[in-house]
Amino acid sequence: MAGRIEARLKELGIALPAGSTPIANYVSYVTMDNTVFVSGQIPRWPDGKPAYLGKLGGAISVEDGKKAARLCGISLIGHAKAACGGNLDRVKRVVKLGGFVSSTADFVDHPSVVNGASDLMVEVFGEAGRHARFAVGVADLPANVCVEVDGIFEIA
Amino acid sequence: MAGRIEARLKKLGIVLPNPPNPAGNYVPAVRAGHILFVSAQGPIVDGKPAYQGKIGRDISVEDGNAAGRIAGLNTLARVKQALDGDLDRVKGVFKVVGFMNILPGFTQMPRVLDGASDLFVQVFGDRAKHARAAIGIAALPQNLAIAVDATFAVE
Repeated sequence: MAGRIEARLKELGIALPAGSTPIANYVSYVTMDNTVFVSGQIPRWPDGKPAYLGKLGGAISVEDGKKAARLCGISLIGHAKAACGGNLDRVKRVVKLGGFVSSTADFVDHPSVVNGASDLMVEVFGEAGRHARFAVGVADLPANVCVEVDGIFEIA
Repeated sequence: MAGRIEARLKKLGIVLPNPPNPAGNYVPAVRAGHILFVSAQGPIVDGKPAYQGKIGRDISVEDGNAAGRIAGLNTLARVKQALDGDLDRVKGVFKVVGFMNILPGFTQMPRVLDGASDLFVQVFGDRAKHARAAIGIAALPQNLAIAVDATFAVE
């Protein structure tokens, strides 16, 4: 199954996580026809521990928020891979990302934070990685992480 | 391309705006099968934020509703663009999610988001009646009052 996208991930030095287990009564992804809906992913270190705790506009800088969003994106790709039976070459398009940024009430640079995930999708999938999106600021997130990203993929 | 919906817009006195450019590394809309996912749109007019601040403190519910309508107009402009200018290809509106910039304690999100929901039904009629979520959030890009995220059924 080592295809084009796997080679690209290797080139970028990205190792996909084994896939986190949902922390409540839901599943990591649902496939409907050729569309895969992936549950919101939080940033995790390679050992699975939540990463980048705190708020944008508070303890977390935009640069760190962006790194955190990239980690969310890596988890999203990990689940997309599972949805594709291990073959990421089946991803036809990254359709949409939803970015929830833990924010103080006066933080306004959510787009730069969520770009951490968006840039990753374009790096990995090229033109097919260009997606629709929202980026909003929320009051709190699970485990006090600074960002959560969910995703929709179209697969062949 | 001047079809049925264009005639309806004209009758309503609605001129679709030039929608703002994406604020980050994303595109305005992506189609997957018969579903068109439109990126969240804000109350931006001629490239500038028209309503900024917290609804309920800096912005009245009525103005929030007006902001929601502008976000809806920007959404329709993106839909038109994605459908090569032919809004008659819209079969319905699946879902609208409204993110409203508020402080804790504000609860009038539904009245605010009706600005966008009413617009869609005015333009497309009953087939635009949609599922919806109206939520208050801590902050938005550019301190916008509202962001509207909508998904359409298209031919």
